[in-house]
Amino acid sequence: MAVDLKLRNSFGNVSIILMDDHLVELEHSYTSDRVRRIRYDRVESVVRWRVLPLGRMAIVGLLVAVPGLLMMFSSEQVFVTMGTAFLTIAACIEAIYIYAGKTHISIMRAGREFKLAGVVRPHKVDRLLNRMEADIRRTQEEATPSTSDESIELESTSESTESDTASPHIS
Amino acid sequence: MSDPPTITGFRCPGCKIGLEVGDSERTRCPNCAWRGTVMTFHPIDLKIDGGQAALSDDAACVHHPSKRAEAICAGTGDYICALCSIDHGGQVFSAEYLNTAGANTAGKAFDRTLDRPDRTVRFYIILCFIPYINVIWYVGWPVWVSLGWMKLLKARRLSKSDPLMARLVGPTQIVLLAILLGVVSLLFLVGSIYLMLFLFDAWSEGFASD
Repeated sequence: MAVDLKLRNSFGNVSIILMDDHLVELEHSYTSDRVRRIRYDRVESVVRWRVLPLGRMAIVGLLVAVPGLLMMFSSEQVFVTMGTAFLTIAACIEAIYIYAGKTHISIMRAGREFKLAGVVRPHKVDRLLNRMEADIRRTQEEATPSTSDESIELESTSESTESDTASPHIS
Repeated sequence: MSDPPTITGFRCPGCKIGLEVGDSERTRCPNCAWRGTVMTFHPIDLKIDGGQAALSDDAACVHHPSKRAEAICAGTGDYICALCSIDHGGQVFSAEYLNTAGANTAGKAFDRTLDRPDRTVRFYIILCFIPYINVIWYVGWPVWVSLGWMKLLKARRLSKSDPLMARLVGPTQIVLLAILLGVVSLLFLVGSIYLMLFLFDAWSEGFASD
C-alpha cells in the first residue's frame, strides 16, 4: 500500500504519506485531495493518545442495536432472527471501536500544532510513528553539523603533524 | 556551532497545562489524568538570510540596490539578493516575479489541493448505479465516457510526473480503471447501437403497416 496510514473520520478519510523529509496529510474528497505538508526540520514534539469514539459508538447503538433489540421482542420468528443478526453486527462493530479506539496525533512544529485523528488499528499507528520518529531524527541530525566533526578534524590535523615530524620525506 | 535545543516539555492536550516529559515516553497528566505517548526532538533554528550589503564592485539586486546580488531569477533574468530569492523545483525565482507574471508557477509551488482524476473516473462509473441520476447519465453517456478517458490519461500522466501521485495511484490501479471504463464504454456503445436498430425497425414497421 502506497499510503502509510489511513484515518477514518466522521467527515471523511485522511491519508498520511511519509516522505523523506516531510509528512503529507491528504484529506480526501470526491475529485481532489486537500494537501498539507509538515516538514521534519523544526518538529518539536509528537504526542499520541487514544480515546474511545463515543460518538460513533452511540450512533451504531442507536441505529443498529436498538432496532435489533426491539425486533427481539416481536412474536414473529423472522423478526427475532433479524434482531439477533442486528445485535450481533452491533456487538462486532462496538468491539472493533473499543479495540481500535480513536487515535489522536498532535505534531508541534515551530510553535504550530498539527492535529490528526481517526479510527485506526493501534499496531498501524505504532509502525507509522516508529518510522516517523526515525525520519525526524535523521532529518534533524543531517541538518545539524555535529561538534564531533570538529574534533575529528583536529585529530587528523594533529596526526598529520606528528607523521610529518616522525617520517622524513624521501625523495 | 551550538547544538539545537532539546525540547523537554509540552502542553497537555486535555487541560493545556505545561508538562515535563519523563524518562519514559508514556506520560500522565496529574491534573486531568490524560495519558499518552510523547516524543521530543531537536528542532533546527530558522535562519533568515537577509542578504549581504553590496560593495562598489558587486552586482546589486534589482529590487534592493543596497544588497549584493546572489542569484539570477529564472523567470526574468534579473540579479536578485538572498532576500528576494525563492527556490522552487530546482530553480531560483524572485518573489516579485512569483507575485506577478509567475503567479502560475507560484501557485504550483504552494498547491493546497491535489487533483485526483482517477477518483473522478470512479465517480463517473458509480453514478451509473445511483437511482434517478443514472437516467441522465445514460442519456449523456458520450460526454462523460469521453471525459472519463481523458481523466484517465491525465491520471496516468500525473502519476509519472508527480511523486505524490505516483505513491497514491499505481500502474495497476490505472489498468484496472481502464478495463472498467472500457467495459462500461462498450456496454453503452452496444446498447446505443441496439437501441437505434430497434427504433429503426419499429419506425420501418410503422411505415410498412401504413
